[in-house]
Amino acid sequence: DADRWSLSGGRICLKGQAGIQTAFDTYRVRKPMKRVGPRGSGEWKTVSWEQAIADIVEGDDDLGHPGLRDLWGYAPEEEVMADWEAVQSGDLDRSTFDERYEDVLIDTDHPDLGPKANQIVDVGGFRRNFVRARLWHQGLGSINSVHHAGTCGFSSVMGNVRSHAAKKKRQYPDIEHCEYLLVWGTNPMVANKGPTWLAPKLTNAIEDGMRMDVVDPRLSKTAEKADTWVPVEPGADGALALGMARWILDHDRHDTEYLRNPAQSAAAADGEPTWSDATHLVLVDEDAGPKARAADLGLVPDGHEHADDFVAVDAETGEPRPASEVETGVLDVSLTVDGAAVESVWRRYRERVSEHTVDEYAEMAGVSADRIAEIADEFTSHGKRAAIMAYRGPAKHTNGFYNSRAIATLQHLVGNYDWKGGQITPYAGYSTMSGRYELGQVPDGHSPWGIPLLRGGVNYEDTSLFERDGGYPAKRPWFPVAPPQATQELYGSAADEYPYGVEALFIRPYSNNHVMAVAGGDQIPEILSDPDTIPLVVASDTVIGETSKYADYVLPEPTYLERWENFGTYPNKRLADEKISQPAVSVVPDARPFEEVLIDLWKELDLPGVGEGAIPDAEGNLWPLDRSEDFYLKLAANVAYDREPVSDADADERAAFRESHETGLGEAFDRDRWQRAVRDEEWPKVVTVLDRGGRFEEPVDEYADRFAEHGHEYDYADRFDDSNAYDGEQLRYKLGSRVDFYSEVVPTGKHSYTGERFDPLPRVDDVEHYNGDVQASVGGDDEAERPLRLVNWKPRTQGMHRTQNSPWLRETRPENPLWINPRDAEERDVENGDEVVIDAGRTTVEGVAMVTGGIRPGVVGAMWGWGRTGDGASAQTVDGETREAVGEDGHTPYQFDEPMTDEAGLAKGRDAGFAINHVQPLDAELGDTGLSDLVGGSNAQYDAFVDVERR
Amino acid sequence: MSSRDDPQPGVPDVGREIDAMVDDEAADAREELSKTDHDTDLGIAMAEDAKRVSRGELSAEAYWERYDEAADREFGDAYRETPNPSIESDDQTIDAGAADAMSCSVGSMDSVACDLPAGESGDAAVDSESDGDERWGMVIDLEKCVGCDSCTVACKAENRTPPGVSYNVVMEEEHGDFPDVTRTNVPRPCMQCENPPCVQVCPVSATYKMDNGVVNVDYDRCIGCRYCMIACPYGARYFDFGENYDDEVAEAGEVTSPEYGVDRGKREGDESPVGNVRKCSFCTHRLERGEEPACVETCIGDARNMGDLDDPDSEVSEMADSPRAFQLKEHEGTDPNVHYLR
Repeated sequence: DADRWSLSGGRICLKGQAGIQTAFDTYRVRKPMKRVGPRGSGEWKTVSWEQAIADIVEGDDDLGHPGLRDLWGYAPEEEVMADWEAVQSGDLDRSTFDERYEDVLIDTDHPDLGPKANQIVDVGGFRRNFVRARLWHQGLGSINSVHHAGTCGFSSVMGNVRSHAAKKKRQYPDIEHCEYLLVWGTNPMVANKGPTWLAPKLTNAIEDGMRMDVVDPRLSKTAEKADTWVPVEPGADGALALGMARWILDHDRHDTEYLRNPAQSAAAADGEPTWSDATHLVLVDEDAGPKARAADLGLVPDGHEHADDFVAVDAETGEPRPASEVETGVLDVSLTVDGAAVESVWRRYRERVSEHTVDEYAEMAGVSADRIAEIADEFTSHGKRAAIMAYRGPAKHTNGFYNSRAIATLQHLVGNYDWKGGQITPYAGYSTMSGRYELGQVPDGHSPWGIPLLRGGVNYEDTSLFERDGGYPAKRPWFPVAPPQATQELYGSAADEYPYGVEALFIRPYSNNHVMAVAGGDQIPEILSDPDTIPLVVASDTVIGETSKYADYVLPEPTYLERWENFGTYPNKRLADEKISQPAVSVVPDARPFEEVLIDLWKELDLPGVGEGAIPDAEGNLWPLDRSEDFYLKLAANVAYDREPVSDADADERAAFRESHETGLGEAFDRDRWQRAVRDEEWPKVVTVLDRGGRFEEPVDEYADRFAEHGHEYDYADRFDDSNAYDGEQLRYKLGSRVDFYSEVVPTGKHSYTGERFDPLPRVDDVEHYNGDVQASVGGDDEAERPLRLVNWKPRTQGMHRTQNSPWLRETRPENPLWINPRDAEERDVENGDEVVIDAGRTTVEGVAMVTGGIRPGVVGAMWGWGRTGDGASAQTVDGETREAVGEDGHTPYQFDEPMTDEAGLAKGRDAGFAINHVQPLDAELGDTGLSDLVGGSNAQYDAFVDVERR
Repeated sequence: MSSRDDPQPGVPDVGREIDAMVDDEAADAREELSKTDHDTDLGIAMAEDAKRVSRGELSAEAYWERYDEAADREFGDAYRETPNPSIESDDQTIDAGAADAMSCSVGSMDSVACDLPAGESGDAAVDSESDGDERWGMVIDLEKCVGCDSCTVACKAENRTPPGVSYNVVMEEEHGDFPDVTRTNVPRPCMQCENPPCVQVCPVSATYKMDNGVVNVDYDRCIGCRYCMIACPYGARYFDFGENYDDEVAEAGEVTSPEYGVDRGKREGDESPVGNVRKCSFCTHRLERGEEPACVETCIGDARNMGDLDDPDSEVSEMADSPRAFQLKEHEGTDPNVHYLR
């Protein structure tokens, strides 16, 4: 309700409300710990920080692990490759090369693998600017710093990256002005990013008349609020999207005027911020089918200002012209120009869409043709005020990239980008890494190079391994058109030493608990347990978790409430923002943020980027980097001074700042030290930024006056004409780019098993193992190995695997029941609340049935996050004292209610439920991890087939 | 496009279905009372008749006539020394003399009822107009409740309730068959009834109605007989068995909530509220500070609203008058100050 002034002091979802229990968890790691006995034995002894640092650097004979000093080696790429060229041309002896580089290269037979530093691998996630960009890449010179993407919606992100030419790509809807919103495989009422932001927007928009339909195999909390729930067959989202496209094309409901603009100039004349490649010509006979450039077709000479233009056929003259010279292009083109066969992108897309009828797509998607027509009709009945919000559901299959592409191209058909009520992509932030301080610069820093362990962004056939291994199939998958973040491949790669072995693994499982988060993560412990595979494993964790319990060292990490973090802006924000969280409480005095551990290690190793003279400011002065705040307070200063600098915090505010930090942090707060991290004149502005949790653009001019009058409100951006979010009918922060039906980047990559090129267009694809075995058929007739498709989703009551230690949260949902449709339940004589056995072929698990019409027949599903064996769910022994696992809270006689009615509020133990990723299929070729989408990089997590029977 | 007067997704047409959800969630009376030292049969009888008083089927006078002897026998001095509540009268508060004699830990009933301190903060929204004369009411829009349980946990965090005590649960129920399935999420705080059977049943006047609409529990007088739990038609009352989170959460008992404005320090041993019956207080201590109750402030669906039902122009009054408004179990005659929008 846009007329409503919110009187609230701010919203916190249940995970945030319970954050204090994560911080004050009595199972927290309190001191650095070193394993006693073999990895995973559950026995530890505490050691001092000095001892831990020394052992990690120098190695330890007791445990028999090497130290970083011996493992590390680095030489610059230019130098190595110049010498390698010299070897090839006979100007340098091979033995001289080997001698020169054997201590610093992984393999002198394959210098393209890069320096030994690459065998020291970081797995983290957050604090990327600091840990990855600064310390790992430039300090250590290792290319391998990995975050969570492979286990996340990576293929969705990449589907959007390949569909939009701008730097900003991920799409959100402009909820406040949307008339029709199609939510696809995501659950923004209680998940996504994030419920406190999205849920009130959605509920108020629905109240104001927005229609929302939700595509999801199960009735999510968002689908509950939908006008129409569209329970699609899992993994068949591409068929549904292409079915909608078929209907739209058949009924001429696409925005032809928009699609015929071949370039920015023509789009601008129509008032369109974006334009598409629909009219662009593709060189169809050329390998990989690139788009023609004007010079390729002889339309202009090389070096001409339009030489690199795409080419469109001018509707006025019927002649191919450089796109920027064409006002209106022809959509459907097939001809020969200058001897080259060309076809328009639109023709190719149209042919692809027309490969099946709406009825055929309906059959594949498990959605009636009428329903497809209905949502396609609705999506194209609101001009630009219709939008799509899609995320994990369509993406986390091996066909996830193509599914995401098919959905993205629906948006192209209506050209709703940057329009009020359409897609938004603002990504408007404030400068963090530069400005007052050049936080990204490392004097005398290293430049990481070589083949990434996870083989992203590299063509297998361009590496020296291609020849060594006899071409296709490659031993393990390569991800040539995705960044090297296919996390799920890490452990199997280490075990196979492919492309090389891992000597030391540093992991922060607080945000990357891979044993739980990777499909097939149950295979990881065996790999981690063997010190010969990865000789040194260091975990920096808040608790002894499922992954960290296999480490040689577990170092106490602060929780998010005790440390610094900078979360960049996100495309769901219309206005600029930059979030900075700071230590608010100190619960474990000996906990140290991982970046500080690295600072100590790097100092011992004399690596650049830490200690004295590490951070240059804008004037070229050098500042020390000894503690986290040396970085983050400078980051706050950069944010404070970007654009118009923020105002100074006055004396009262500074006093309140001091008092609140002294209260929350006690001795852990050293204000003088904090203040010395920036210049004196910067401090009051830094306080202004920190007190507000970052910097947030004013939604309207003179916001302060209006705030004084009206209080909090999330709709300022709509209420006033001088809104900073909009410029007339369009977003002020725009995508403003070409959008692609046809990606010429994608087919530059080949499937590393078959050598086949990836498809430049969206397509219907089966879910396949690396070797092509079909796991789940979409278009074909392959029978699944078991009758029920198992999907999963993020629980509304848990934040990743970080929050299971909160009894408040476990009380709201004590475990993860298995949702099963009454039809499937009846066949198996299963009733609501029955204990069931879930047979996934390679393994069986036990669960509780929740019989519900809110899941598609033939599909069962459960929340991930349960079935834990770490984080207080199993006993651990520290310094000879054994701490037993957490039990159920409360000791009152109490009967747990059935699913759907469990409201009585007692928590089960931390081990309740079953681990969804441990029943995922293993890749048939690899056997040590789940399936991967080779184009988009995601781990497939919704493609298990199970049977269920009553216990 | 749907009209606002149409039934909304996720909200059943009939209030009775929601009432049934309440009953499904409620504890079994006999089982509950069998855990106490007090007479189970008496408790069930008193609770049933207290509900009849709410419904207007029995007078309060007749009620106490009927139970005077049994209550005297069961509760002795604790019963004799406290006045017998009557929820029929418009002014349910007792006279100053009786209140003084009872030395309520939260001030005399009279003073609590009539002189609740006004909010301190001038700029916070709820009470910028607050003059201490409010009748606090809550309106929960079921169309906008997303069933996330944020209110449930916000309440735990605010009121520091022990395991098994959750003032504010969200009930969830499914209707229909695939694919025409809807779910209803119904948050259920204490209804703060105008005619509360829990007050009528209390043999020691430990729970009573305040003029600001909130039903108070005086932990210092509550003897933990739990008759009120059975009398409450909404299952909104819980017994504090003295459980705690100490095994899992460091310093969990260091902080308690100043419920009804009384700061009781650490949670310790068997000191009140351990051994007492507990329930939602509309976060009286927050209202006094000019803040919304924790559940209202945090509601991510923007579904909860707090305000003064005595002010006909307040947002909550307007909402409570809307054709979409209803109360849980209207037939019980309890007249809750919590209203729902369907």
